[in-house]
Amino acid sequence: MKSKIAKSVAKGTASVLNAVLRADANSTSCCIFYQPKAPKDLEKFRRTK
Amino acid sequence: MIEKCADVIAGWLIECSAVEEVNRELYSYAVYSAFLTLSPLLLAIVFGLCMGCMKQSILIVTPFVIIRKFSGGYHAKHLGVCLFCSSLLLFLCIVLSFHLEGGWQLALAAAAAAVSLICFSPIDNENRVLSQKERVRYKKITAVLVVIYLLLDAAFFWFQLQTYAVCISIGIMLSAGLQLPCIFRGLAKK
Repeated sequence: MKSKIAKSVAKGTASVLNAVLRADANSTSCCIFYQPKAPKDLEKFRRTK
Repeated sequence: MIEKCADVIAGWLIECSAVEEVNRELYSYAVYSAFLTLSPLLLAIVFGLCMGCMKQSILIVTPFVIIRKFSGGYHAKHLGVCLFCSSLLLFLCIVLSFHLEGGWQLALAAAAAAVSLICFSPIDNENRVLSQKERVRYKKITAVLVVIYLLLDAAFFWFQLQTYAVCISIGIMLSAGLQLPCIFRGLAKK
């Protein structure tokens, strides 16, 4: 039961993080003064190829 | 510290089979990025609560966050410097919003900042280099966002909501101001 809840929370978190990745891949940079190095796989989330 | 937390969360997602092991770096970056995206809003809420000006601080930070996402601008080399500068700058902007009065001078300054944003955006970073297509797209998005915020600014000004007009103006000027170091650096290189 506990692991079932954990799994569904993890899936929800992954969906939120997918949205973050999509937003990040389709914008210039982070909105504050530090930009971490973007991983190569981020390109998969870009609209313009 | 934050990098380690991001890695732990990515590890937990892998453990729960929500994400594949090959994507660990990507999701670790996503957690880190989510924190960086939310931090100006969290800072605005904290300052707003402490200084009793929640509306003003959110109204300053919202145009800044949204425009800067597409316009780009100055980035510090280290996260600590970044968080310190963000906090200091946001605090100064909130204090400035108490002392500035809405008027034609401020409207002109905001319009000048908007023109600068439209001309010089987007400014990319060595950690996130943009393609030519992306440059064209983000320039258009920045222009649209800047015009929307200028219209909102004008509406607040028109309806005598000077405090809100001042906050939106500061948000626009902050986005433009943070492009200046990059613009000057670019000019110096030439």
